[in-house]
Amino acid sequence: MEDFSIIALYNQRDEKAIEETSLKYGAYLYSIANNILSDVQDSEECVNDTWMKAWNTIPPSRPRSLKLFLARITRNLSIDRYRNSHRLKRGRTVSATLDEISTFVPPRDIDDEIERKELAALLNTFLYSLPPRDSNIFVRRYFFVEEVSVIAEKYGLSESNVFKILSRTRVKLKKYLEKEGYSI
Amino acid sequence: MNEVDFLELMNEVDDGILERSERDVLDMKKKTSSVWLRVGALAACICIVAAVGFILMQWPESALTEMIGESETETVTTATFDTTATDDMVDDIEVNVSEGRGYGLSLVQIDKEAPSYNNPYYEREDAEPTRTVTLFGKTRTAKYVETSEWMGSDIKDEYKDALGNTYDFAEDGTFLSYVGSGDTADFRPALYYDKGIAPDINEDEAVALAEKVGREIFGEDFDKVKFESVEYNNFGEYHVQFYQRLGADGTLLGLTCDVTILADGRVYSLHMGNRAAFRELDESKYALVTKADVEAPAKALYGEDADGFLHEDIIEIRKMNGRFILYVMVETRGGGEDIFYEVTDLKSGK
Repeated sequence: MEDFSIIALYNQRDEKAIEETSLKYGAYLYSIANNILSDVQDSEECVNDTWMKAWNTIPPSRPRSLKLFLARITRNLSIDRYRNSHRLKRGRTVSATLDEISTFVPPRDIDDEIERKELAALLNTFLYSLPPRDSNIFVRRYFFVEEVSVIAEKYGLSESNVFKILSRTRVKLKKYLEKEGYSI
Repeated sequence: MNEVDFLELMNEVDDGILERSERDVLDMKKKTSSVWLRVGALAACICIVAAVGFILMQWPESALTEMIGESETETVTTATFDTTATDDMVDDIEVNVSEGRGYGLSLVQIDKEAPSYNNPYYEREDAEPTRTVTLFGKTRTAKYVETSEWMGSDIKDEYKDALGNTYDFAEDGTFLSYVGSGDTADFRPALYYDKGIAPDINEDEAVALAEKVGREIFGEDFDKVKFESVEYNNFGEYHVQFYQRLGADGTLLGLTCDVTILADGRVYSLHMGNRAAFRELDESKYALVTKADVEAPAKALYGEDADGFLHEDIIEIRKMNGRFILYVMVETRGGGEDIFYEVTDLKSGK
């Protein structure tokens, strides 16, 4: 079913919206959740919570891209669950991802909403400035939290090439943030 | 901001950027799925061409030239290389051979972005349907799955056995890699690393085991590599690397062998890269290659902006789409740049 038809079901408060969304995007969202949580049960719960959140948000939200709208919800829910988890075990993929991120994030707290928005704008400017391939690979790794082997497979590159592209992009982002006043 | 905060911040990435990454992935999948159409069309073309060729062979040459003219017929081939012209494309950068300046590679710059394989996955019709493999004292039969061209230099035929273990072979049957699944079904690295349990074997033991299995499986090719590094990672694995460093100054990467050993001492995977592809290259020529061969053209591109050359002091040559591509990562003040050249003069017989 096309996205606009699914959104129409939400607007009509027809519960078939959930069924159609699940059919179309269930596996996709599960993979996003699992990349972060590495736990079947937790991932399934996050995906189920995504349906509820989508139901409660559409309307009034009118997502331009239903897929990415849902992906963001699932990511947020998964990251919250990850934060709240008391277990020591870190998911395989997110563990490596977080280690990589630690090399370039600015240490200061970003509590202020305005400052957060500013940082988000800088991030987008930075990503738009990159060669498309480098930007896409960065997004696959840090938005979709995909394993390097999966990214390499998708782009027909070797894993070492992907590691090098990510490493180089992190260095560039670090320098860019420093230049904009977010020192590390 | 901590790492998880940044992960959350990534939620603010524009739809346009995310959509582009999704489109990019879909384009790669479309490229793969179109392979079968090309194979079918090729089969039909071969029949027609054979029939026409037979007929044309009966005609005098002058008449043929009149009919066909000067243009060439297009042939579907996986050796076609997809290049994108850029403002920075430079033709035939030649480095003069002089003492201490290396071999004198003839390099044609391709692009600054990593070239993509034309056919990353496909089913090769003449692949052996099954192969018998003996590893770690066990003999198994593995069935052909598909062929991939995207990992390293060697075109790989992938096989799986009944337990789900994966074996890769080059087209000529040379064994390239093994990745365990059934043999390592109880693999739980978190039991070791996250609970702070020390691995059952130490680094020296992991390296010794990697050398033992490497030699056992790759034979005399393993004698050509030397130990490069070992790392115990947070997946509870020892990752042991062996490199063959070639060229006059050891910067050209030849054979590579990677062995992953689990914390409990089982072998999870092993892989030897460049095992088949490098046989096409002339050893007497690439023995002369040095970093000077790539520094000059890299300097020509980046000049004073370059802080140094050859990230990790390595020159990599990979076979892609039937051609040999030299890949150089240059450290610049902007962070780092990749340069890709086609190497045309290292093949045997040239």
